[in-house]
This record gives sequence, structure tokens and C-alpha cells, in this order.
Amino acid sequence: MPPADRDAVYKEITPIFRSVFGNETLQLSYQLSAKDVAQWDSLSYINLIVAIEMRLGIKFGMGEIAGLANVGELVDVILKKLRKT
Amino acid sequence: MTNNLYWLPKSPEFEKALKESTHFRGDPEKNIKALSLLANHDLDLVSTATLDRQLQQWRKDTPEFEPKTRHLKLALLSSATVDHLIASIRVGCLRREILVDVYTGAFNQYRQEIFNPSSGLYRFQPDVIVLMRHAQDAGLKMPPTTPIEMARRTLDQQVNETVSLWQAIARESGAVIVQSTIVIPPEVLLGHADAIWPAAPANLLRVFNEALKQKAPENKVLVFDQDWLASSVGKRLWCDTRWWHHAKQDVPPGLGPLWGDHVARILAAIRGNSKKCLVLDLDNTLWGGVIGDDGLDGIVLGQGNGAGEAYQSFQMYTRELRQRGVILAVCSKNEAATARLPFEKHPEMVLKLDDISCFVANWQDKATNVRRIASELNIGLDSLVFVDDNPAERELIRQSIPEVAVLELPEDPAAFTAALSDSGYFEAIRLTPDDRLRTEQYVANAKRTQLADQMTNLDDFLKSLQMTVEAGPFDETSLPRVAQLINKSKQYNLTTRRYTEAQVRLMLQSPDLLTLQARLQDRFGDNGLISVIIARQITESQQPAMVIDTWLMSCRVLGRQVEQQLLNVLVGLARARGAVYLRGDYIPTAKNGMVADHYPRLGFEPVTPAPKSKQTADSTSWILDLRRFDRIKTHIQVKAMERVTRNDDATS
Repeated sequence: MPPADRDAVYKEITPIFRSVFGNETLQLSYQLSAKDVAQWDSLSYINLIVAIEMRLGIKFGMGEIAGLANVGELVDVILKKLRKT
Repeated sequence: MTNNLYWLPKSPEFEKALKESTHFRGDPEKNIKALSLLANHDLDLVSTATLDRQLQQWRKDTPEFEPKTRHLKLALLSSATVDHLIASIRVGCLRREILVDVYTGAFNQYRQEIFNPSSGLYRFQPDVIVLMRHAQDAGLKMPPTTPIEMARRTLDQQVNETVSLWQAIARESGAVIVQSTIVIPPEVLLGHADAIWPAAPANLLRVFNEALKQKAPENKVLVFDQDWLASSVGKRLWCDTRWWHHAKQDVPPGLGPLWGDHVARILAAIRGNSKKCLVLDLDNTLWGGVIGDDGLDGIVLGQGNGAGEAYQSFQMYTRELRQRGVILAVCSKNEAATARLPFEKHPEMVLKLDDISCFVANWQDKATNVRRIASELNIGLDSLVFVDDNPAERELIRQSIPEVAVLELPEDPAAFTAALSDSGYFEAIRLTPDDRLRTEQYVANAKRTQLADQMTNLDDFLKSLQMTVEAGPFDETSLPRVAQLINKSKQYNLTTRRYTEAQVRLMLQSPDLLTLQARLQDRFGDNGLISVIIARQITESQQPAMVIDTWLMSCRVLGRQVEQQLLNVLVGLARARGAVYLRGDYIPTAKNGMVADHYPRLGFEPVTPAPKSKQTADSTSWILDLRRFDRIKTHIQVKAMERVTRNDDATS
């Protein structure tokens, strides 16, 4: 994926969210977090992170895996990583 | 091994296909078949989880629709978190048409569960129990300077503890135990010298693994060699410790689908569901080029050429598979003589015609030929693995015979062996002496069929088989096989009466019963015990007679005149008992239509009206007058069975 802007990242990860959580109509927003999505638990969250890593060819660090509060922060981290590569 | 299921085709339209499978909602059988087909793709973590959700929905929708034969209960006891792996196990099993229930128990409570006879583990009544330990939990963490004697003592204790777990399970449950080896982390302390430092952490784990492997067979425990799996994927990839630190997952989630496939292949092997026969294409699969165009000198095979050596090394691998019991067949679009040429004349060919149990080369479509191979070898289509470099042929087989496993062969011949090995289609739980013998038997079967093809005259064919039937009463040695046939035979079985081994044993002592077992040999080998007859002496209308209670035969020897020759034997024995006629009944079932005319074919006359005592309305009764019976001519020699006198015969 080319050096990306925020919208491109949202576009890229939305289908991953939808597949992982089994929710075809899920809309991502900056504030969206575990409490908003019924299927978002610790297990599916790890699947989500791993699926994003595989799709985008990036790797999250320990602190990033544990410390993300919502989708917006996740996108921030992804953007940072994509710009470095 | 790479980290995915690359020997299966990709599924670009996965989401769409999954949606389409819901169209079969009203038809559980079609629905599960569709899901199983989908499972036979190179699925990643997310697709696996998605498919698993659909599978769970199917099971909820159809609780009653579960033939026992494909149901399996697995308990997975681990010192790490395994919840993230369950979907992959279920989908791996679905790939093999096994429906699995997985029990995991509480986190790291497996010792308590194993030693407590009333634990959830035993209430679950597992068929298979898989035991896994993480390196951290092996009890082998000690300062690297620990004297080696002390380290050894700790090692022994840990090994003994594991063995005592096995024994405790064996006391409480009939489950098959599968012990995983510990994945040895790649970190070292000295570097290369760790290899010669007995107390190095990795060495302790290695010794522990070896001890478990050694003790497993004598304890009837199977091995899941996770350390080998991790090595072949790559330890750095496998030991991605982030997930251990984050969630105590010792198998990284991304490797779940591969890991689950390995668990599933072991379960399938336990079930006896592994593949038996490798069906090989020739051009560009066993050698480079096209024999029909390039000729013997033109094909690429053997030393002096990289690709040629790669093809040769693939041949070597398939020959090793054959040596360990896998049947090899050839399926090629070629003139038969052209296809055989390299096997006969090319000096660099590793495979010889003798290695190929069934050789089919013609211009028919491959689906027809694959079916023919299965029928000539007399094995199920679901025991075949089809290997062909041509994607179109692979697609044809996938679409027309979904039971056949089709290897997604890489383009590079150097990768053929790895793909076939990694696919695990021929997973076996151990090497048995029977494996080799079985290959021979199938070869013999195929040779018989080929012979039948060549001979236009059936009589000549039967004569050329040089058959001998060995017949005699049941004895202690043959009891288990006799009982097995009585309980298993569905097709060539006149009355389908089932008797337990104990009941059959009692028959040995009944003077009014005539029992007959028969073995068949021919020039290709021993077919083993193939027919069982039980007849009872009666007196009817003041005439001594015999009623045939049971007559069954293995379908492997159909059309070989065995039943005719056995009638000759039976008549001789009945006459010796003074009988003047034989009576036989045919009780139809869903499966035994092939013997509806068994008695009339042998010259029996219908009994009219049928005796009232008889089973069902549509069963028929037949009678043979022994005073007017002439021996039926066959091409089978008869030999009286040598009574095997064993010590336990005398006491029973």
C-alpha cells in the first residue's frame, strides 16, 4: 500500500474489522472502541491486530498492542508505521 | 514449511462462496459439504474464524444431523492459552469431514483435571486427549550452572510426571493420548557451544522431548511433534513471544490455521481417514517436457541439469512413500506405450513400472481415469491424492470428484517434494508392518484386474489365476476374523445375521451346526479369509436336511467362482451328514441386492409357498436336491484346511 493518508487506512482496514467481528455493516470512526462492538473481545482483538499486520506488512510492538484505546489511535499507529517503511 | 496452507488452492471469492453456502440451509448434507469444500482452501486466520462461525451455526441448526462416524471429541490440555486455536482445529477437521467438539478446561489446571476422576475432562468423555506444554512450564528452568547430575534428576522427575499423567488418563478414560513435544526456543547462552553444553536450557528441553518420544510408544501414546513443526516453519516466526506476553498464547494466532491443520491430520489418522494412494501425472510432473513430443532423449530428467535433478528427487520422495506403504498410480494423457517408455528405457528414472500399482495412460479425460484407478485398486475415491502440474486438470478433478484430494502443485519442480510432504495427506500414526503388505495386496489386485482386461475370455482369465480355495470348519485361530466378517459384510450376505465372537465360539461346540470358513489363494497372493457359511442340521418331513443360516463372502473375490466351489464343498459335507437336501433363504436388505439370485444361479429351486416361519414378507426360500446335484465345474482347486492346533485350542 502506498504511503498513506488516514482515509486510505480506514478504507483498507474496514473490511478486516468487518470480517473479524462478523459484522458486514460496521462503520469505523475515530472514537469506535471495544465497548461499541458486541463481538470485540480480547480474542477477536488479537485476531484483528494480526490480520492487520498480515495485510499491511507491519508489526505492532508490545506497548502498542496493549495500549490502544480506540480505532483512531490504531490508525495513528498504522500511519506512523507505514510512513516509516 | 511456510506459515500457510499453500498446498491448498487460494479462495479469492471466499466471502461470496461462504454466503452462497447458506443457500443450502434447508439441506444439511449439502450445506456441510459446501462448507467442507470451502475449508479445503488456503485460509488465513480471519477466513478460518469466519468459516468456523458458519460451521457452528450449522451445528446449531441441525443438532440431530450428526452421523457418529464423523463426530469426534477432543480435549486439549495445555499450560498455555489455546482458545484462539479452536476455530482452526474445527476447520482443519471440517476439511476432512470430521465434526469435532473441543474441550479445553481451565487455564493451566490440566494436572488437577487428569488426577480427578470426576473432573470436567472425564465428564466430557473425550475420544482423544492432546497434552501440550510450553517451554516455561516444563519445570526445567534452572540456573545454567546447575551441576549436570542435578539437572538430570530434575529431568527424570519431569519425564516421570508426564508418564504418570498418561497413566492416570489411561486409568480413567479410553481416550487416545497425544503428547506434544515442547517447542524449544531458539535463544542460546554460549552460542554454537550450547550444542555441547549438557546443562544449556535448550539441551535440557531437547533431552526431555527425546525421553517423551521414547516412552510414548510403550505407553500407547501418540506424538504431536510441535517442535518439528515449529522448526520447519522457522523458530523466529513461531516463537513470536508478543502473544505469549500479551495473552499467554504460545502458538502465534497467525499460525493457527497451519497448527490446526496439523492437529486435524493427526485426528484423521487416528480415525483411519488418511489418504492411501498417490495418483501421479507424468509430463512436467515426474520429468520436464513432454515424452510424446520431446522423446526419450528430449525430456528433462536426472543429473547435469538443475530441473532434471529436481524431478528426479521428487521421484525419489514418491518412491520412499511407496516403500512406507503409499500406493502409487499413474494417470497420464498419452499413448500407453509412449508413457511407459521412460520407465522402461530412461536410465535416470527412479520410479520403475513395478513401483506403479495402477498405470493408466490414454486420451480419456482424467476424471474418468481417476475413477478407473480407484476401482482397479478397489479403494475409495476419498483415499486418492491427485498430483498434476496442469491447473486445468486439477480444476477438473476438484469439480468433478470433490472426494479426491488435489495438491496445489507449485510451479517449480524443486518445490514439489516440500508441497507433498507439507500437505500431510498421508499422515500415519505409526509405521505398521501391514503397510508394506497392503501395498503388495493392492498391486496384486490391480494386476488381476489388468489381466482381466487383457483376456477376452473369462474362462481363460479364471484359469490363469491358478486359484486354490482352502476350506474347513471355524477354529479358534480364525474366530476373530470370522466374527468380523459376520458383523461387517453387507453386500454379499444372504441373511445378514450378526453374531458376536462369543456366540460364534459357542457354535464350535454345537454338533448340529456345520461351519465353513474359506481362504482363497491365487498367483498374485493370498486373499485371506473370504467366505463364511453356517448351516444347521434339521429333519423336515422326516427327511434329514440342512438349512443354510449364513452365507457371506468378501466382495473382493466376486466373479471368481468361489461360491460355486464352496457349494461343492458344502454339498459334500451335507451328504456326509446324511442330508438329502439343502435349503437356503435370502433376506433382502438395502445393501444385499447383489445376492438376490445367489441360490437360483447355483441351481436351487424356489420353495413355494415360502415357509411361514420366515423373517420378512419379501424374503425368498430355495432348495437343492442333493440326490440330483452334480458338482459344478470351476477353475478353483480345493484344499482341506490344516487344523492349526494350538495350546489354547485344547483347553477351549
